[in-house]
Amino acid sequence: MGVYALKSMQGWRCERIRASGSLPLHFCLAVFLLNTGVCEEGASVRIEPNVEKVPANHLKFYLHFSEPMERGEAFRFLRLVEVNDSGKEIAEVPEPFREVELWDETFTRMTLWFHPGRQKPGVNLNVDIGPILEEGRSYRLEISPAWKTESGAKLGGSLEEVFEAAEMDDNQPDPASWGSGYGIDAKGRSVILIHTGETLDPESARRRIQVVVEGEAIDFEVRNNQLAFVPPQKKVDSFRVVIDPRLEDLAGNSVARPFNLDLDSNPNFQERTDPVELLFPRKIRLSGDSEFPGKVEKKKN
Amino acid sequence: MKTLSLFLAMGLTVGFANADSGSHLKDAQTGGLELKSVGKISFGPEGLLLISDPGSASVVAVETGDTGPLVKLAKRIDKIEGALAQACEAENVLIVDMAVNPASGTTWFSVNQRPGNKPAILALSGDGKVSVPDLSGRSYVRMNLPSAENAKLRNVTDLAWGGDSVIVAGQSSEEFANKIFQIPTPLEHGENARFASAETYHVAHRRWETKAPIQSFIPWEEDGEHFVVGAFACTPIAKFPLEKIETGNKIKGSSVVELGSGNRPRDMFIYEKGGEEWLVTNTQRFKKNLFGPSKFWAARVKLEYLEVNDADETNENAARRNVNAPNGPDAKGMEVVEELFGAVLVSQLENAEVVVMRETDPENAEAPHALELVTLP
Repeated sequence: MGVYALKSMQGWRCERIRASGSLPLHFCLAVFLLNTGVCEEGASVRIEPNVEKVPANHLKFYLHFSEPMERGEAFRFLRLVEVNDSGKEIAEVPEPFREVELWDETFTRMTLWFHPGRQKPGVNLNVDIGPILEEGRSYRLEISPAWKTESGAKLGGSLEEVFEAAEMDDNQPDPASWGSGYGIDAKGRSVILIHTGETLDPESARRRIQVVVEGEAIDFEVRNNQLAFVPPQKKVDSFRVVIDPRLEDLAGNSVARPFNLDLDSNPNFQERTDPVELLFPRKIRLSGDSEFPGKVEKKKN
Repeated sequence: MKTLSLFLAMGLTVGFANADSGSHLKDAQTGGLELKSVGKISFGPEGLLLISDPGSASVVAVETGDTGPLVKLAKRIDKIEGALAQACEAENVLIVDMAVNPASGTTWFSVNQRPGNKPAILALSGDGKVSVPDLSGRSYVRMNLPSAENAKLRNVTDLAWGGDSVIVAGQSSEEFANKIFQIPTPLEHGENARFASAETYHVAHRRWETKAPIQSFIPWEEDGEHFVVGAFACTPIAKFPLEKIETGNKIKGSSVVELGSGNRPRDMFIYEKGGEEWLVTNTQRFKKNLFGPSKFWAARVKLEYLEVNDADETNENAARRNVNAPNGPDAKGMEVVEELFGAVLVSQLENAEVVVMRETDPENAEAPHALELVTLP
């Protein structure tokens, strides 16, 4: 038996179902198992970002598959529906996707774009058809189990992510407001956290941010509005974060420029082209350090 | 000027230097061609096939040996997917792209075999027979798109032979961004492309767009200057001066025509009929098509619309298609091409003759497609 790694629903939706009515626990358990993708065979998929709310002008999801998928007809297997608080479908959202399949070099990650022409206020498709997401409403992104992998295996259960559309985000990411802290990762290790203030586009964050400790760029994990890294040694006196200005948030606003920039009304707008470098000079000690157990100094940048 | 533009679009070419004898390739490799994936394809002169391999962020140019004589497709193929699948012994195939070789009339396909997604290149000759060409022993070069951009560019939206260069348009997977690559001839292994980002005024949006990707294009020459004439979603047609491509910079295009919102262009070519030259682009509508039986439709535009350069005729002042007049005087030279309703893929054989892969059932996305030779009006 394979267990799908789709984290999108997990417990919270079940809690919402229970909160909205008086459904018995075993029903919720069944919904939970369905939504976490427990199935008899097949591949797994994980949807990024995995957040309860996205801005109403959200641009894209990343579908991470455990093995290469069949390509060319992906949009037959993808659907966006508006749902009520109980998760019941209200209506299918028409024509939400920019129907171009964008795969990584391993064909295991597909970038799923909402149509930018509908997500940009005031442009033609946005005016003609309307926006894809409306603030305050809930939606479910569905992946059909009929979508096969290259090896012919099906994806198994009904795979989906429920999210709510929040206020539109027209603000550029602001690295000057970023802070740091510490936490524990899934393997129980102490990690240093960088709080980014908003959920960044996860692939953009992986590509455009560099965390440098003692002159060495080190791996980090993107956790919605946090970056987490395991320091190379227990005591880290300082580290640098170097940010390519092309770094984007969920609405496509980059450090360089807002996504929704009207060059007619801002003819002299200058994109930022040089990287942003943050120095975290504070003394950061990790949990388990007897000198400073479980605490971290907090300083403003 | 117009004649040369037409020649470029038809895949004819001018002279070359430093190429291997009789070849458009330099230091070509013979044998060992493997494709990680297949995407858009296009023909150059003398059977030179350009294949985008998005899995390896590269473009392959291979001498197919398919140099004629010309045999045009004799009859309609009703179920092209079935014919191709049978030839490569797959359960089914998904057609990624199609290009007819003007030299031979043979229609070449890039496909993914099902199940398994194994890429394949197949050829349909004029007599309707499908073959699996053995390219393993052919001379080829693999042109990597610049490594600085490798991590980004995963989708070649179009590619074309441009006489003294191969032009490639691509877009990023992760960011809303576009690139135009120019690879000089003779073609050789490695990274030789110059590239730039394109900035365009979208007439329908009434805004400048710096990031929207070019969906399809043709090389174009006007008064000795070389351009890419590209079509974008929604659907401005703009021209970009190739001379201004410098690696890493931005080139500003001039929007010259707006075909209407809600469309995604698929192919583009030029033909001449009755003394009039036309630019054709077939597109897919995002929503139901109110003026035809299919989401797939095509428009033709008099070529004179491309030749404008003044500010009062470009960008915010560019000509817009009259959506209430599909044809006739009120259409003012921007017309719906009824012969191309349902055309999913179109490839030009010779002037007004095009090979069309067409829907057989607009209501059923899984229905097989038909292939036929069409003469445009």
